[in-house]
Amino acid sequence: MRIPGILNSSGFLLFTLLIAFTALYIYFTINSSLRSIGVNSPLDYCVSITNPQRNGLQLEEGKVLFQKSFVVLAGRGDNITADVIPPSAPWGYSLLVVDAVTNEVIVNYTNVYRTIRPLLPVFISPRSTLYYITVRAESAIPRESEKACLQYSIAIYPTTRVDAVATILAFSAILALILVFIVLFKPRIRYSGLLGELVINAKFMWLWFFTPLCFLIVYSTLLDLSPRINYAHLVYQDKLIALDNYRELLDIDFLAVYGASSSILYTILFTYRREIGEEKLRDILPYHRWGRYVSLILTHFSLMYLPLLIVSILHLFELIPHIAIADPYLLFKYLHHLVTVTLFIYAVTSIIPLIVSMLAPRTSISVAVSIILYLLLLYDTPIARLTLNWIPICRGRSQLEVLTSSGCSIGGYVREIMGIYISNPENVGEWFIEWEGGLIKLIYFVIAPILIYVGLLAPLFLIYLNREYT
Amino acid sequence: MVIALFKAVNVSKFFGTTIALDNISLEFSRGLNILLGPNGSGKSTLLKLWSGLLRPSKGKVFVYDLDPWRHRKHIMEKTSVFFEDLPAPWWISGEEFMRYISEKRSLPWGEVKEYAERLGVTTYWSRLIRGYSSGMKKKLMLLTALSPDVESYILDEPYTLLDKEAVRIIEEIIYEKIKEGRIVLLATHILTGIEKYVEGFAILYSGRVLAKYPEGLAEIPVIIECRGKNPIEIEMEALKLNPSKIEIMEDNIRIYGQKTHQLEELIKRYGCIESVDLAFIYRELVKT
Repeated sequence: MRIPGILNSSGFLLFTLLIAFTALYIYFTINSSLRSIGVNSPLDYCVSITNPQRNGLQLEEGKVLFQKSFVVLAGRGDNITADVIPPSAPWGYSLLVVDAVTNEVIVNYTNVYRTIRPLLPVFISPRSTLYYITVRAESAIPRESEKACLQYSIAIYPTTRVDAVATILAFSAILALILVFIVLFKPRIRYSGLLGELVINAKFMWLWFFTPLCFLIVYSTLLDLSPRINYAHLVYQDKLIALDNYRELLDIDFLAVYGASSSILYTILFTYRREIGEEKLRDILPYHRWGRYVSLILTHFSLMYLPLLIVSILHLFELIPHIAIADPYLLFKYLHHLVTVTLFIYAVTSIIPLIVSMLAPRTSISVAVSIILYLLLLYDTPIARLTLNWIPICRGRSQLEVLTSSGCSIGGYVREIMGIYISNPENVGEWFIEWEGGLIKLIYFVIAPILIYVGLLAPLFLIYLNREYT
Repeated sequence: MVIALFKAVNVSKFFGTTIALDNISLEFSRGLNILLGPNGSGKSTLLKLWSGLLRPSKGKVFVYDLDPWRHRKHIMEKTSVFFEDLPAPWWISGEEFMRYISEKRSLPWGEVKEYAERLGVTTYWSRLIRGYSSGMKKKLMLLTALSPDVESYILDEPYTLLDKEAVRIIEEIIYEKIKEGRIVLLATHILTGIEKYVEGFAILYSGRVLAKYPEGLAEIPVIIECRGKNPIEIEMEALKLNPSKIEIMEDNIRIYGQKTHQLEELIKRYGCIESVDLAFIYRELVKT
């Protein structure tokens, strides 16, 4: 049977895959359940004569005083509750909600309640932004009791996926515009320079089968648009934590899926093309070997990471558009954070498949070996503990004999680093000093991922060149 | 003194235990140069060494006085290369592929299209390469090598898989290149007629050079062709010079001699054209 011409073109294939991807993306995003999120008081959150002060709770002149601040990321229309159960009634309750970006006071509510469990007000977020919420409660010490206990619960109940829908619309609009442009103007692709190499690499048809899958995984897993709550301490740090949409990277399963996808992409880029002899086509053209190498590395980076970065930035602008205008420094910090984390994850997750792809002569062997090796190192296995012992965390953990599930594996290492970076981005350097006795102050986390990556790519380049000495 | 533009000095190339080239020395400087030899004789390996795609295990190769492995970019700016084992990227169309090649080599698209039309590639190049026959792919790949206007061309087995008409067009293009003063290095085991313009050749067998010209052979068998002349008179004169064979066609007489200057008198007298009898040399050498 003869296949109609249009079905036999790479443009049609690309178009179909993009449409399919968009449909899947919309399906997954819309069908992801609305997650309410909350922060609760710790167990046994009490004060007594012998222990008159706890974080946010204290005894003062015969009264129990509670005050706590939170930084909250909420979408428009989200319901925010700040519930408090005091030790006794009557009690005073006050709620102060401030737009963290513009410093505008949104709510300043104060009331005195006669019962312990009154109906407290629900704050409906007027816009998507960051809020500082300060809750204050004051009551008398209960009679005939040695201690006064209090419970609090700050919760956000998202009402609609306004944020997700907006992102989908923005994404679909961009996609539609690109397609319309292609259909109407039929732009001819330019192949000159490094960009041309990226284009021809990207046109490598096999990639189009895997790239949308990677997009899907990255988008639906990482684009975490759910609300956030954190305790407020330092202004910029708090805001960054609330903005962070890399939280899902802490999930080890994502790294497993990502690593497998990355292995396949690298194997195709490096081994399959060599196996079929396609690389020779570039050898007979007048440009350097290193250009070919760099173009492959950049292709992988573009296909696996640029969408992530773009969507993350879109997320920032979609969810809280006025942050960028009202607080450019915050935007800068956010982007800096995003790029640093991305580079680090890129370095860690791409090195194994890259090495295997270069050394293994056959695609089938290379894919299998790199995925198996990756998973062995990713999860907690004796091999991972042995081979990754050079990493300070692993060595430290081995010495302390506290090998846990988050111990010596790539996933554990990434999770550990990410956790520290996200929870305390300003003090990562100090954290390293603690581990290494002040050795690596200059190798601050901002440049470490780049140095690691470049350091690993340089010997790999030699392997790549050496592979041609046949 | 003629400067050798393609030079191999005591070159050996091993692939594991296989000896592809065994201590060969060769040089070519101008016009059409042919590497002849049966399969596995080392022709393609030698061309790949000159193209900078392989490094010699022993000895040295030079192209324009440069080490091709180290200066591949520079050499590829002056040289266009075709190898039989170059795969066509099956996931794009032939036209897209040629656009890529033309931009990488800064070729005017009009010229590329002109060559493509001559080779009959434009009739199918809008389709994806994966649907092409072997001959169609070969013509496309030859187009990538023949369309650039460079100083030298390296062509490895350009005739296999092609139909008669395509072979004729390829020969025509090669002839034009030679006329324009370009250097063409051609590796083949099929002689199609272009060899009559040869200015240098080497016959390889099992990685060794059996014969080479202009260096190496002082006397070589020749053919002279006399068109539009009186064939009977020429035949009578030729017989006096003790030729090895005479072929008379409609308006052409072909006389075979065993030495370089054996038929010189006919060339002077009748303006006949002399060429090397490469087929005879090859047959005799490979047979022995």
